[in-house]
Amino acid sequence: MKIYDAMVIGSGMTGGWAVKELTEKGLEVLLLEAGRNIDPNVDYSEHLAPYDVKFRGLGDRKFMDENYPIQKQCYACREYNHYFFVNDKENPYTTPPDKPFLYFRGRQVGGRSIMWGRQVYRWSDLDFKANEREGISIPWPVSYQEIEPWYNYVEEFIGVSGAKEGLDQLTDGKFLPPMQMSAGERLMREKLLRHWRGERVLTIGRCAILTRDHKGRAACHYCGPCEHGCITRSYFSTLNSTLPAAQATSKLTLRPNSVVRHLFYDPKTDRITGASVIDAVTFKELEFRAKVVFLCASTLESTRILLNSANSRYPNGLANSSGVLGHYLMDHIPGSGAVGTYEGLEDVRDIGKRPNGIYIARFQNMRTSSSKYLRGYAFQGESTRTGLLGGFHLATLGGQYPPGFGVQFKEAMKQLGPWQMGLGGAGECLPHYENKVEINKNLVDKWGIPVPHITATWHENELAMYSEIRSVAAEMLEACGCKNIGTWGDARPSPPGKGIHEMGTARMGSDPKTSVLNKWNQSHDIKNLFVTDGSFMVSSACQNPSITYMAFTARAANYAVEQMKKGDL
Amino acid sequence: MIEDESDATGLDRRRALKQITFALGAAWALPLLKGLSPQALLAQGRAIHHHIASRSTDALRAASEAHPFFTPHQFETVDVICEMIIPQTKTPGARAAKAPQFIDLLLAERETQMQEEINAGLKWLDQRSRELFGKVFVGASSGQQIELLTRISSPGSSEAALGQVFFNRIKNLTVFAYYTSKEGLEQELGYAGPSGIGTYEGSAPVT
Repeated sequence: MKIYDAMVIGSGMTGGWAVKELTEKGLEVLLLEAGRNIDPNVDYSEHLAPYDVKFRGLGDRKFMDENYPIQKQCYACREYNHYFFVNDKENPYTTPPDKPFLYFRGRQVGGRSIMWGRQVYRWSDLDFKANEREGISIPWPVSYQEIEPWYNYVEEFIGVSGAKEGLDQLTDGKFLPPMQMSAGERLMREKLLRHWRGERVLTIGRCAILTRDHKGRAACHYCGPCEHGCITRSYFSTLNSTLPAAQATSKLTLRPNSVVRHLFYDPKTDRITGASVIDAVTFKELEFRAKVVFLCASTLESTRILLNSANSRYPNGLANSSGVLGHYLMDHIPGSGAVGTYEGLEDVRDIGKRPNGIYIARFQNMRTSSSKYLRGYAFQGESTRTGLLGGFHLATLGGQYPPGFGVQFKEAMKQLGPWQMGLGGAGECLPHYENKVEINKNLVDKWGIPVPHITATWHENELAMYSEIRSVAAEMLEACGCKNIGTWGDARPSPPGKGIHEMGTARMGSDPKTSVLNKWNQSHDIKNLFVTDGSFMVSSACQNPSITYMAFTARAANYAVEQMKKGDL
Repeated sequence: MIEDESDATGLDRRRALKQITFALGAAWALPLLKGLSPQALLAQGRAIHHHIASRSTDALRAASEAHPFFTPHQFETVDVICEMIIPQTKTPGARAAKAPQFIDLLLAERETQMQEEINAGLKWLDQRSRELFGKVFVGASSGQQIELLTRISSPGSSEAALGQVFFNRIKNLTVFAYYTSKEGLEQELGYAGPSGIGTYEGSAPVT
């Protein structure tokens, strides 16, 4: 049986980075992906108009209710692209009845990097040092200074557009030119700066979307729905960027439809020797061997694989001598904000569909701590002129339209409305031991593999932030001169998982007794095992996490290759 | 009958694309990306999406000839109301955009919770039309039809709540159906289609 130099499990955001780095360093790499292959020429659908799909984008309710009851609750799961999400019937999971968790999943080559939100925000030491400073959980074993070169490295390759702001809490990156702000956003930026004397900074969203041609990929042409794919490869995804780079080395073997059941462990060497795989189509059981394994299957799936790989040496899950594997599950708390309209700016409008918004960097607990909660939250939002805007905005079934009917009404429908400004906040979630993923031994998925059992709730700290977010949003809109301000969001937040930033179930740390991985994303217990998806996270900050996962993955891959060269692996 | 969604927009599209990929003579799967300029990529992407769109649109149009929810009389009534809400002018109206057919499909397969309200509203409309004009709604003169729709659409209307609720509902359905149709988006609003955009301007003068 062929023994690969390295095996990477999962081809999403981090798996793509692992295979790129490992193959470019000369390793023979096997990439196992549980889902099917994606052909951009067939599966991307971003240029389809509403009238090209049966329900004009509203979705096939019966079909979705039956097959995607969980996934359909994700904003990015649409009539145009639902096939980028898993079929819930084939991929069940369980929770305690009173603790729902929304688990949004993509199983295909490219994983969720195809439908991700593309927002890219570096951390700073405000985030990396927070646990240590406050005595929460365990300290991060890595500082901003150590990860900074890898942020640079990843950003230069993927292409990130944004504006430098010189903020301590939101470190600037290697940016391509920023996307334009709209007139309403520029107005709010100026008013916020003045009103809060520079403490509240609204900047254009920093996003992994090209604003000029970059490494064979084309600048964005503003068609809008990135979540449906991108034939010009303008936003970063595994398919659009890292996978082609890995394939160019001729060192990569990509095997789609390969569901990893468990890993093989050799107690004599205390090493992983390979993986047991079920072919997703034929259901045949297969084996693959490699010298080093990178788990990049996404937080809950990687943890599930390790838990399902328990043996007599590691009865509570592979590489789990610490007992913390599966615990400290985090997400970001999303889902409340405010919206208002401006008076004025009547002589200008926006044109085009910018697949990006604005960002207001965290401004809470910066120098002194509030008594209400620890850490903080950031806002995302956008301002656009209302109305159908020549087709850039779509009508909705529940919209408010001009009165009457007939020729006059038809004319009125073409008129521009006022400028609207909307903000939504997302807050940091603290790590709690009791938020966890386990294995439900009584239920298996379509491939006979025991499923995750997820137990997670929001705690006091997140709830305190959540209840404040909408009134702070409304307060800022008011300070910027907005009228007709309304807040949105339920009294209670959506269940955890809705933020789609699940992380933390195989955390890193300096002490093998309290962490699964060391500072190089390498298992304390089993030296040839690396876990580089969101499961390594020790805290969550409030920034969108993908860029941090990618930076740690690139760093871990380079460390692994160095260790192999030294003969230490 | 109407095919299910995966057939109309998924499998058919895949089949179509196998053909077009072949026809373009370029098996340009991902690894070959570097051989193409960004402009060539966009051009090819547009060609492919146009091809997908024309296939699925044909299938959807054929399907839209069926009347899965409305009775023939109801359809006739809704057809008249839709066209009164968004009439043909220099640009197509709701009828030419097949808004009534799309509403029919929505009520049959998606917004099933609206069925009862729409049925009751249509019944009420004919009753009220008989009271006022001695004829069902579609049998009334166009002046009488305008009068009745004006009564139920005016702010502070004294007509039954049932009639007012019905009008608002059918109006919203018509607006959605028309302004998401090819005719509504492209001919009425001047939208160049999702692949026809090239830039974003955040502060363009209103002309």
